[in-house]
Amino acid sequence: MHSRIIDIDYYLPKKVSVKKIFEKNNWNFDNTFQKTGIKFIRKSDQNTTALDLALKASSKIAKKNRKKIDTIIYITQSPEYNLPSGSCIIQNRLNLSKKVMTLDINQGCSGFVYGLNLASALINNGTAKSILLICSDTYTKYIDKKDKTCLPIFSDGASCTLINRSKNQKILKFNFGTDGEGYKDLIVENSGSNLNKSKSTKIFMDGKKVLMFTMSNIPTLVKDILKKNKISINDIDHFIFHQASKTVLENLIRKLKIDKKKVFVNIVNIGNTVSSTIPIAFKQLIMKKKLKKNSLVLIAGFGVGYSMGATIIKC
Amino acid sequence: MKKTELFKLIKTALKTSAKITEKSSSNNLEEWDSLGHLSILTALDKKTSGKTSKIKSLADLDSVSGIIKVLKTKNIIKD
Repeated sequence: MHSRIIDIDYYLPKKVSVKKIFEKNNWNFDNTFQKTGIKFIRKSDQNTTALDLALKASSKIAKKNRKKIDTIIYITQSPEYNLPSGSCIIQNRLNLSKKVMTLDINQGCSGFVYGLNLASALINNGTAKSILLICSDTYTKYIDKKDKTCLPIFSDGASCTLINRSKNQKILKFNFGTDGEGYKDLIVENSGSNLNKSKSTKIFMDGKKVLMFTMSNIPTLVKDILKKNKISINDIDHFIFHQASKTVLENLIRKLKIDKKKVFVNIVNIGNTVSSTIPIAFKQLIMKKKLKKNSLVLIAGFGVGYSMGATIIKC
Repeated sequence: MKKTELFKLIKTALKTSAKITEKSSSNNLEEWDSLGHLSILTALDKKTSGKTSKIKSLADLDSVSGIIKVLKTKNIIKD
């Protein structure tokens, strides 16, 4: 049995102007904007958690499919608690059946691809029939208000993707990779069970190293997934890369020698919502009626970890 | 790549009017901040057809002399 994406929904909190933040701090916005391509980030209120955003993104799809949903996969690096898992709380808040299987995955920018792979596998092996894949993060809560690197990039946001059984193969083969040597390049050091008062509770990102990671690994990841699926790069109708930053996206376009028009970019008004960038972009492609029957969409998620994953979706 | 080509590449990447020499670094060039460094890394990757993106230490090198030293060990700079 195969699987397919049936529906996607997302929720973004209020828009915040990056330019205004920069002006307030007497920082140069124009130089930063040239590299990030981001004018607005999305920021949740102090009392709003990633789980709250997840529920807002999922409520409509859950309501429509309440009786069918048998699995919840929740991707987050902004957990409500260390325990229990957020997916258990989501089952309760969405009033879903007590027979559902629930699972949290701690992944960031590659998280949607990981979740999609797991959802496909659970459907293929007969464990599940209808899965809610929910991605949600509130990275802005980890950012120090004087952090010029992370402030203009990361956004809060959530997405919900419904994946059901399909007679035809719509989600093709996957490819993954990990380079744990880079775990310190994007990290909240004083967190989880590794509580160390000498370390920061705020996020740290070495943007230069993250750029080097993407430039040296993601073109190969993309070429490998094309090879694995025996599809030519020219046959891909749309590329949805993780919306990391303008610099990263431009480098991928250049290195892969792909038509810029085929690469979906929505970073300017949304920012980098971590694991939700790909499903949000996918939904926007659908809303813009850019996807035709049998269109091929290559998706690639990469970042924190370092972790990466890619697949191809047939519409 | 020749050293002079590297100087030109860094000057263009940083959009600076200053003369680039082996003594240039983030300490004496205002434009060589973390964003400027991203431009240098991208320009190097373009110039060397991807060879430099595999040299992880380049992310930490904030001086022309340091970059030259590493690129020499990889036979990317030859003089």
